[in-house]
Amino acid sequence: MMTDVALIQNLMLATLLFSVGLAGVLFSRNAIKLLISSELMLTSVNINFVAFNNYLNLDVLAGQVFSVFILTISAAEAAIGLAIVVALFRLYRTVDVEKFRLLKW
Amino acid sequence: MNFFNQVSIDTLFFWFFAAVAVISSAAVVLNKSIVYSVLFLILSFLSVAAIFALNNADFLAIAQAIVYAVGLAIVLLFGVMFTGIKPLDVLTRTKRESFVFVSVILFSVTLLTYMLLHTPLSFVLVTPSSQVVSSLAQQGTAMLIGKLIFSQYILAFELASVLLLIAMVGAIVLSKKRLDVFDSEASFHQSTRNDVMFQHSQDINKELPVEVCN
Repeated sequence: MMTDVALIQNLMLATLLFSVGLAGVLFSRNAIKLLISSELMLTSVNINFVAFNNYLNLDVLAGQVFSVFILTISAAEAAIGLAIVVALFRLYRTVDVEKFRLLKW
Repeated sequence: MNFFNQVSIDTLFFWFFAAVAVISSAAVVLNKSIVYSVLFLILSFLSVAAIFALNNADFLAIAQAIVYAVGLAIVLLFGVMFTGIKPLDVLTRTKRESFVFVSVILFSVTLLTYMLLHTPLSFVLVTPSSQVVSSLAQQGTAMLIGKLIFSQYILAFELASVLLLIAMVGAIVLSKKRLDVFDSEASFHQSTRNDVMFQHSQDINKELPVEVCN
């Protein structure tokens, strides 16, 4: 049991991880790295759920159940995203998101 | 000795794994090679799993380690192998765009820290009650999570299973080689249409004189 670490340290860790993932989504040109960064953001959200559940209401594990569902959905999202990236690679022979400009006016 | 008496071993673990998580996530984003990014991602997910375990979520820690750090990372490595590992530069856009992005990130970080600093201290500095923690340490969280999922959240559980099925079928259809389904269907329709038209024209040629005679 962590006696010295309070809720706010967990929340700050989640904030840092979320902003790192946001920076990855905004800055990277590789489509797979976009997927990886969105997974980082989802993980930081999971940290928030687990920390709030731990510190505020440990009798009912609703937050941990919610993060189990987030885990499921992020796995499905990664599978679909990778399939889309592979299909795009077949079409354009690259994974550079700057080159996918079919809808760019 | 005094330091180790004051600080518990769990707190040291928390700070260690938090530092590892943040540094490896930064390495994921900043690394040029996508393969190293995925490997650092495994490290980041494992340290986040350790933080889950420190937050009395042992089942979720193991699920995180299995689903993310093993399953997802291997799927991502397969994706890297399919799409080539030619390194793409990070952070090389126009100056105006990078300014906008940096300001977006700084804005979100300052907003979140403002929110954290202005919540009441009694709310933020709360610690879990020792009674519940000791009971959880005895029986684990897997049974409680299972009971919740199969009673209160049964609808969400079934919806998640349907969603996983849809995602599996969608991923298979999307990653088929050159979308063969649509190509073969199109060629099939085209060929049958040509045959029908050919036969039809032959019929017309045969039947036309009859109709004209009538």
